[in-house]
Amino acid sequence: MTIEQQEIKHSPWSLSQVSLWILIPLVLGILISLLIPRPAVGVIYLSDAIYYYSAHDIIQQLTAARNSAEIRAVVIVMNSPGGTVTDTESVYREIIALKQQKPVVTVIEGMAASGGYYAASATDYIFAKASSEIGNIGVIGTQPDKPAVYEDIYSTGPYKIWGMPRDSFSRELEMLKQGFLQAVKLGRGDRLKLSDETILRGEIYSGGDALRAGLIDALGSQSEAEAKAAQMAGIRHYTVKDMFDVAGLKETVVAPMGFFRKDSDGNISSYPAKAGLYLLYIPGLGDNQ
Amino acid sequence: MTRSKLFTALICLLLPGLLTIGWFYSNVPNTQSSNLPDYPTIDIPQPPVSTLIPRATPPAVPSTTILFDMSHSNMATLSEIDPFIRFIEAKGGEIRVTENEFDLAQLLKSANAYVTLAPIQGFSGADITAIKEFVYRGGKLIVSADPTRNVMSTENPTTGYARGFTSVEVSNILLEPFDISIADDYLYDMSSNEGNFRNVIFKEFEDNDLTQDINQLVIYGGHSVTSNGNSLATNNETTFSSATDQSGKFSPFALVKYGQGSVLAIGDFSLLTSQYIYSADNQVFANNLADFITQPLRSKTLADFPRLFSGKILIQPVKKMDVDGEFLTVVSKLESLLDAREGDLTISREDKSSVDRIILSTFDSKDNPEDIIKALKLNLKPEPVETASSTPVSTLKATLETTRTPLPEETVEEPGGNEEFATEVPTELKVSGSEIEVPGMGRLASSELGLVGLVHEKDRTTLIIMAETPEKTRGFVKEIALNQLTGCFVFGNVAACKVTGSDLEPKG
Repeated sequence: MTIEQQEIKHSPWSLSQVSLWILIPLVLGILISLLIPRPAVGVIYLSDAIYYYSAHDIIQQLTAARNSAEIRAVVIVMNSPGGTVTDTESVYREIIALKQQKPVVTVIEGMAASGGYYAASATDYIFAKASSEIGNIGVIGTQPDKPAVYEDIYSTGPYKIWGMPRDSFSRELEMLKQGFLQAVKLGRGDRLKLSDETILRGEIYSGGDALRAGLIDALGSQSEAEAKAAQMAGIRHYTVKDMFDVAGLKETVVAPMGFFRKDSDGNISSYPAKAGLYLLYIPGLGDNQ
Repeated sequence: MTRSKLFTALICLLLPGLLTIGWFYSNVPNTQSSNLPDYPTIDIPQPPVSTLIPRATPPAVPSTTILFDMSHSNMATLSEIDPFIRFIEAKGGEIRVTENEFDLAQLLKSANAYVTLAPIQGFSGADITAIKEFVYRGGKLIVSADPTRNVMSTENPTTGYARGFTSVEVSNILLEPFDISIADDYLYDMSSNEGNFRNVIFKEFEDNDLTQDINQLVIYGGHSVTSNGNSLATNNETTFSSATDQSGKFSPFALVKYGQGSVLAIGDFSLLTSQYIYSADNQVFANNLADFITQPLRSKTLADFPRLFSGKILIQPVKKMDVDGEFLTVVSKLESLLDAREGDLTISREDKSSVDRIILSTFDSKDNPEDIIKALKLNLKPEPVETASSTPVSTLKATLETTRTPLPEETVEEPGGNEEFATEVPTELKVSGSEIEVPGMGRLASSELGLVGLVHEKDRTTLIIMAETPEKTRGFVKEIALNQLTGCFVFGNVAACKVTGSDLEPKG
């Protein structure tokens, strides 16, 4: 018996033992590690006005992000003039819910105006381009018609048809404005450098001005936003996933319903098709009044 | 031995996972809790309590006419300001509406005030002159623009939207002679407002009849107005003008005296509308404004001829004027000229009532024209004796006023002042022997002269029409029934006209 043969004979790690104590646990460990979710940054594109159908899609994606173990952070790529009050608020609340669990970062491409900024203000960090249009904080709406009665339409009260007195409309507008202001202040906190009065002027700021005003956190691109989101989520070597796919919305795209008014030639204007209250920026509104 | 093997196995089991975690995860996620806006606690200001004014019953017979302009594509309707209209009617104002601007000067003759709301179609030069003279003669001019009614856009199929004049532009052209300017802005207040930044509250007021009993006024989107006159109301320091985004002292009103009349520019139409008139003391302002435009009644001059009377009129022939068939023809002409209603005219040589009257008289051709002028005054006392009024009439001299439009430099006005505005120019009639030189007519023999005089007494107005003979007086009446005082030289409340020699129907 050689010395080598003796060492093998007395070694505690026989081949079978190596298999039992090392290889099998290792394989099991590898298999288990495969169960560990590979982190991803989910990207949600909000490139439309916020109305029922677009909000529905966004909320589906936000919900999917919240429920997905894989999605560790979310980047909202924003290019929106805002939209209806209710749908904007729905999106806002879903972002707040997601933000409790995972970092949410916004990158403003062309515009985050009015309701767009309302939603963006809920996120943890906001990037924008220097030329992005940001702000327009406030509410806009069309007064209800003067109450009237009709020959063929019967209702049970003077505002059954019209919803509210005209004066109540302006009060509600004011209430929503105050709520918007609160949302911005809650979202931006100490970073905000504007007074309430200045914020409520409804101005649109360029990215640079918005940065100085504390409406955004940095100038940057989508990839920088993704990196920031990853950093906030404490992940690296992440993948980027389009939440539209993650939420399985490709197959469930609903036919878009016109939010903006179309003229007789079918051209889409910047006016909402229906009267009501909006967190919306309407460029050139005064030109046509 | 077994323990170390177990440890090794555990390491092997966990290592891939740890490596994986280490590879992908660097830190604990940074998540933040967030609060939502607390909508239920948001305190929304409620509309200021309104000072209610009970509705009054209009008098059976209106005492004056308020002319509302609706002929300049106005961006407003009277139905929108119905409560304000009711105030006017309750104070004896009869509302008349101009639906075309064919002859505004004629319409203004019967009016106490002219109101134009958000006009966007330009006034003609003739209209502006007529309005200016109307104000000069004691009329009230109210011009209201409104930033929410500033322009009407029309859709042009090829070029998109086309814009016409704004109501500010049109209003300012009308207001320029009175040194009033409505700014093309709107006022706003971000910190102290009535529920919206554009609803500006005014709490400081100048002492003026228009601001009596007003503690708080709210405009719901209004222009600032500047003038050298009264601004009536001023804002607090937090009000801004959209034109400059600078805060300052602004007023949506300007009240300027011009001649014997006044001009009020209002930068906001909405405070008179049904929707906003019941907010704060806006209703009090509307009531005061109704007082302002209905009272006092404008003292008519011959420039208002023939709209000198309202109500009953006594036709009083004196001297050689006989009441015959020819005379009745003349009266019918007068009835038509005065637009009198049935029963308004009565004929009597006796003057027993105190109703307004028209004296038809003659003078003697042998009279010196200068004496005729004097006689015109004296006709009221004591000649003609039978028509002498019990009320001393010494006002004719004071009413010999020019009706020409004053040049701006001629009218020196202090804000709130009440200067005598007119100069007496009887000297423009040059008397020479038996002739009188009338500007524009040359020398007239007294036999060619027809005179019209207007005298305001304490509670009545008297119009005197006289020529050399009864025939000439009748012919003169027919002429002025047809052409009014066109071609006559009007100096204040006396008009000198050339008359034909007979009472044949003049050719028009």
